[in-house]
Amino acid sequence: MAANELPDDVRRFIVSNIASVAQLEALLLLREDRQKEWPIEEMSRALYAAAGGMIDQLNDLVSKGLAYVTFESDARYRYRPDMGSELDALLGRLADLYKKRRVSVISLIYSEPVDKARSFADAFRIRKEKEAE
Amino acid sequence: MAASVIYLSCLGTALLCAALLWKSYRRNGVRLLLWSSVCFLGLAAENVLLFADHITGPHIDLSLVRNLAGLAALVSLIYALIWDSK
Amino acid sequence: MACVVIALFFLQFWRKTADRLFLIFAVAFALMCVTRIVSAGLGEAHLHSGSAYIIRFVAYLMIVAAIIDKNR
Repeated sequence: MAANELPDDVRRFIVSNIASVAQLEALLLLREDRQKEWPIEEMSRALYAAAGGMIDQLNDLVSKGLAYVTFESDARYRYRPDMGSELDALLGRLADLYKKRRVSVISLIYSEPVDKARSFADAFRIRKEKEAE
Repeated sequence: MAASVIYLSCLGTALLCAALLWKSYRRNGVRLLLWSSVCFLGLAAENVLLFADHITGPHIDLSLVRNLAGLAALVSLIYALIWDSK
Repeated sequence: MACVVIALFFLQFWRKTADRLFLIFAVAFALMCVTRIVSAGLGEAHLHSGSAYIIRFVAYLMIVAAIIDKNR
């Protein structure tokens, strides 16, 4: 399956941190212009997404330490200014992979085994083949 | 000696489990796998200590270290099972 | 005893997923618990002989069996 082409650390990041395509696109958008602070409406417009859902995704990113939120008159979101260089590099590669292998990335986001039990049992499958997902 | 063989094969099994779980964690990022791997490492350590205890004889008592290793291993797995909901 | 708690979790996983592996792991960890109880009961002098390590051995053998079973 296409998802196997993605490097391990990118896979790990996606499975642990990215809940939806909208969230990924929001994060990558924030990264494109690191200094910029985005109000919700502007982000929603840029991504053609509904504002309500956008807020949840962004707050989730903030709680994971991937974005910052400032409260002046309204909430504005921006890329984390002190983002570690390794993580930043990984996000760069992820941005690139999202352009070149969009289907792989999307299928990974939505195919993660949220089921802990299954992942545990699957860990003991030594004969790793084509993953039948 | 039967005991040595047994401890060493237990050690091998525990290490195998730890390795499989770790490899899968590196791939998937499911935290339960990380702590399970730690647990099996602890169990492996426990077996190493049992083996050491066995061959060094009664004048050296490793029981405290041994029990701590085993306990730490199990507790970390319980922690993962209870608190890490993903 | 921590092993029993873990064994119970594995039993729960077994009920949820119907995957034999969890049942076997549950029994294995329960046996590890038995091992510890037996060792504690027997005391240090008899730790390396007889029942204590045999039960432990069986527990780990079951884990190996579970892995083999998973891969056939």
